[in-house]
Amino acid sequence: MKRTIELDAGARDALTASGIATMRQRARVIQLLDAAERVGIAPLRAGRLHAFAYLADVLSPVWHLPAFEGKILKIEGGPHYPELQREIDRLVVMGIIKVSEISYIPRPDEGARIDGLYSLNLDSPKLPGILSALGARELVDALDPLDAEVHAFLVDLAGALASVPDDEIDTAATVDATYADERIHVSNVIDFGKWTTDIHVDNISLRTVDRFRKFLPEGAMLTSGEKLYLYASFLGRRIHAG
Amino acid sequence: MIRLPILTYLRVEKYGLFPGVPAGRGIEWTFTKGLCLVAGINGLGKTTLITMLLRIFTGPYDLTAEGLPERLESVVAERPVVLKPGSIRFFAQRVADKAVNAVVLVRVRFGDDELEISRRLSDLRLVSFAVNGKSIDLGANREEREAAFQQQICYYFDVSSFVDVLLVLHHVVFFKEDRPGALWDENAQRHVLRALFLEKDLAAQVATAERRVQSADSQARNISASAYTIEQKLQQARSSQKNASEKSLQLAAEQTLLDAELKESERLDTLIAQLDERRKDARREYERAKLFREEAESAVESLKFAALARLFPTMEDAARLVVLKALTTGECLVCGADTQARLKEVEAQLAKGICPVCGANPEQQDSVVPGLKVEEKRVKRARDTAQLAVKEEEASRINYEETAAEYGSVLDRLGTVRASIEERSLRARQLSAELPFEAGDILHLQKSLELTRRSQRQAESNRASAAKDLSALLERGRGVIEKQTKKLAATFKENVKEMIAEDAELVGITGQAKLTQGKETFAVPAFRSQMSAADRPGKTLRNSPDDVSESQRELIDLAFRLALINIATGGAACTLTMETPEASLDELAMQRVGTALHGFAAHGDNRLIVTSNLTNAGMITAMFGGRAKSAAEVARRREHVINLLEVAAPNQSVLSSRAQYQRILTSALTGKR
Amino acid sequence: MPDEFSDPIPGVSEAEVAGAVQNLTKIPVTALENRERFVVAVRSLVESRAQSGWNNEGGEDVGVFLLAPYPREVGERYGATAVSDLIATDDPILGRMFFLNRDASSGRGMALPVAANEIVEWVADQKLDHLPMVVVHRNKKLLISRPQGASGDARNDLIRDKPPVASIEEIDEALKVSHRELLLTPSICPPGVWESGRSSQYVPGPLPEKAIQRQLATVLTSWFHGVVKAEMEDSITVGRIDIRLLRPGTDGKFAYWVILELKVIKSSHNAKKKAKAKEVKLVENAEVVAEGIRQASAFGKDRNAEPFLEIYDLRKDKTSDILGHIVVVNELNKSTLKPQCRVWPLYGSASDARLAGWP
Repeated sequence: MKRTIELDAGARDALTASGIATMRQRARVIQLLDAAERVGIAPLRAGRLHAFAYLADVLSPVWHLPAFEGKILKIEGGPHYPELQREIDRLVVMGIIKVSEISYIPRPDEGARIDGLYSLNLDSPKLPGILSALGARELVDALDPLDAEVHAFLVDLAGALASVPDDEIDTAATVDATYADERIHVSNVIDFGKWTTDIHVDNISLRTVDRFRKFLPEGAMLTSGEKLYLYASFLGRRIHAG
Repeated sequence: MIRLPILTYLRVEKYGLFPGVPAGRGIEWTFTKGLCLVAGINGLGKTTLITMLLRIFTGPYDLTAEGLPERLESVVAERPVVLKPGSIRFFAQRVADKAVNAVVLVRVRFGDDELEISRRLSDLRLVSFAVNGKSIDLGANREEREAAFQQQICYYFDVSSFVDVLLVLHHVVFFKEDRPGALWDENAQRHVLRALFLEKDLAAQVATAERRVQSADSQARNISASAYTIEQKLQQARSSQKNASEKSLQLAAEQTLLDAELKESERLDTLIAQLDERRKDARREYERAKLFREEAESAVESLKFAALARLFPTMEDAARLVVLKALTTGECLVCGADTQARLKEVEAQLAKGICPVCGANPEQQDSVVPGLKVEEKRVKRARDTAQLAVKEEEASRINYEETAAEYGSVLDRLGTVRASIEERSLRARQLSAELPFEAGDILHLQKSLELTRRSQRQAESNRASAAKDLSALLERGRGVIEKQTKKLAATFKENVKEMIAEDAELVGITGQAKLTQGKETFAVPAFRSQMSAADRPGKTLRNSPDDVSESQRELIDLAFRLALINIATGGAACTLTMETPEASLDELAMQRVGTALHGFAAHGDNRLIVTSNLTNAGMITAMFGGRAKSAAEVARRREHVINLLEVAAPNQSVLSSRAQYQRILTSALTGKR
Repeated sequence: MPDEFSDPIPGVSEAEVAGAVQNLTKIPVTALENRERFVVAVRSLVESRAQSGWNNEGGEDVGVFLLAPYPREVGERYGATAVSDLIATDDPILGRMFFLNRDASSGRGMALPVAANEIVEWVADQKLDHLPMVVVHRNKKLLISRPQGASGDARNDLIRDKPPVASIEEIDEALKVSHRELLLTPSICPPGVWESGRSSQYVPGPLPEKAIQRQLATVLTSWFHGVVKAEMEDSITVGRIDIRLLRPGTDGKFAYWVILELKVIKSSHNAKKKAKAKEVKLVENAEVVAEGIRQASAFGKDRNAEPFLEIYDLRKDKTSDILGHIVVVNELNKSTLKPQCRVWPLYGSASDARLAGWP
């Protein structure tokens, strides 16, 4: 259901390309954290939040959703999104997100990266409205019905990742079939949906999920949710295998 | 000179149709000079016995798979043909045990050599072959044996090919009841004359040449037909080409544009690949730059963070973050304003221990804020790095966006070109289909026609040369045969005089053998009979069997045959087997035939094997030379009779009236009525 | 058809994939609605603790589990601390109250705020009575589920000493239990089986098979969680209402094990309110059963599974034996893979059930 929105001057200015990109990132952060809340794994450490964002991106085709970024730079230490982090920090300042235990961890070449425990500020009066608009509450309130589907997907994925032992979601992301693909070296871009021709070939995680059917009898189907949970089992076993 | 066989001995064993006397003995017969009468009534096996004599020589082969055809082709085959299974089982079919153990054995003389041949009656397989008492091993493999056998027989007949042996057997040696015979069948006559009179190498050459002419003619005709078809097509093409010039101009235009577009598409393909590489590189640099910037800026933050934490231990993390960001990025996270100026202020305040949030002086603060001491150098270095990182990120972002845009536009262009190519190709195909014939096609047809015409000329020249060769050979042969004409005519006249009332003559003519489908014919020597008829003065040429009555037909043919045998062998002996013509002859005619046959049989070493129904008592008597003069004569005559009433398996008639039939036979032999 | 599974996945071995799929029976039942999913998850958790001897529980008897949309939010009100991976760890669950996600895997936990017999009241007081709730009574070996919340209906399930076995006898048992406790009379059976207000007239709902199917699927899922996977045919256009059970085979792949085809026989068609309900003749019912035999047999043959036909008898007059009807007998005789057929009587009123001999 569509609703027309009155935009004020500030909002109109924000509708430049970069303005839209910023809004997208912020919406994404809020949806991710809301899903984490639903599943009871909030607050999330920064590394796990980024890992969650990456796994959501690479596994979105399981729910037949378009990828968010479709690519990521492969680095030591697991997936990380600078633009996501920037918006996380801004949302903290805006009071939408709460952070605790801030620290800085060293990075190569005398660099650093912020770490902290992030969760939605459930006390914020702005939050319920934002969540509704983002499809995290009733479907009728969502500005874009697709967002409601995205939210449902993120809740499913969060639930699946909650089954990873010791909540090692960040480790899970590094052993993800696409991220761990040795054909792409560190410091290169893994493209699993942005400039690819066939995601069923280039998204290795999706291929792995597609392969589950081989071990089922003909005619048996897996729901999208089951596929995510089985994939989380797959990641969990990889972590334990070492 | 050809040699004709003289049968001397026959034995048939274990054949149910001829149990013999006593039963089980089969037939054992020595053929002596003169007549041998195979006497019996319908169904006792007269034809079967004669056929055995034929098949001893032919084995499971003949001129066609069915045996002797009604009329011969203008050209004989090169090789004998295997009989079809039905014909091979001719003997087996007539008995209950399928002749499984039945064997027929024959001895036959050719000049001074005596051959002994035996075959199984169930499948005509050659069992043994001996010459002058010595057994000859013809090989184990069935086909090889027959081939070797055939070679032997050719040698003894003194002809070059087994096909000629078959011709002679069918048209000279074995006289079958219902065949027109060599006199009436032009082709048969020609083949038989060739086989009989021409020296064997020449005979073979003529046969080969005839075949060559026919096949060359066939080929030439086929090629001519092809050429004609191509010519038609070419005419069609030429006439429609006149109307096509405008369309082909259009097509040419489209083709040119299409070629250009294809080249462009190729160029763009290469370019796209390059741009893809470039945009991927740009993206990688951009991503790295983003990360590097974040890490560089965080480095600055982390230096301040430690200090802030010391300064304001109770400050909430969120607030700390705000301040930190402001201090490091020069951007207020709350409102986005540029804070460079304020930055300096705050830093100055901090240095003095003034609270950056509310501005309280150290004296006013509950918890004292120590001065902000940070390693200046380290901070400066980190900040410089961060600034560089920002610049780099900006530069790489621009580069990334530019290369991505360029890629996008080239991709669009490629899409447009490809769509145009498709459209244009479709149009070109349509135009091409509308053009009846392209210039290329006409050239192709012309070339094709040239080649075909060339082949045709070659084939025609082959045919001409084959015809020339054949004519030359025929010329050689003609002399030989024409030389015999006088003698043949004389002998014929003599033979025929005894057989029919009318005056008949054998006339040599120049026949025209038609070997090809065309008009050309080949001159060959031929014979026709000429006789007077009841209703016409003078003699008329009788050319076809329909020109004469049936009885006359058979007798004239017989006369001709006898004349041929006489002249071809130079008077040497031979065995002639006959199934007597019965139904068509009147009493007097039968006597005449009988007398004529008696004449043949009495001459020299000739053997005449004749089958007869007992109804022809008159002929039988005449064949033996008229009424018997004594009982001894009758007894002697009996020795020349293979009495199927005794020797063959009896049928119902025989079982019920054997004595009567014997009496009829006796009276035929004696001549008494 | 080209083998879509033939080309290897870079860096991923078949064994890894196969290993993941083995968890199919243990992952949450995504097909169920959140409330039921939660109950199944809690039962799994509790039974696994019970079957390993209630380690670490001390003398505690009662545990309370609440499905909260925002577990942290609720939990923090009471100072509950974070819990995660309850299934894998052996952190005590008795003597405690939990606010969990729908998989009962993570959330917040605290000591029971009141005595066991005051829980429901407390929950109501705290205005948490809309949250699906499961209470565990260790000593009584009882699990009391209230999917609609503390103020809603309760359902009792036994805490089993041993994990379920994938056997036909267990399926029988599960069907018997569900029939007796969840279908027999209108008060316990799910909405949709009877037309609202007309159960005593034996007027069935518009799609009683579907309602029963959902009920059975939930029961079987709950019963066999961890051992067997249940699948439901969802589309009515296919014309089949069934539940399919899969279990791991010896070759590392899952295989179909049992197919339960569901059919309903009734005295009359569905009709709303006061409308006259059209009669259903005996032969029509027989044809429905015959169709069920055909479908079950065909599916069983197709998937190499054992077929069962469960006939739910909604007729007012249950005297004529539907399995003895000539149409049914003929169909069974024709069938090369005969499904086992059972008839389950459902009654339009509790008194009718009692009259028929049911306690």
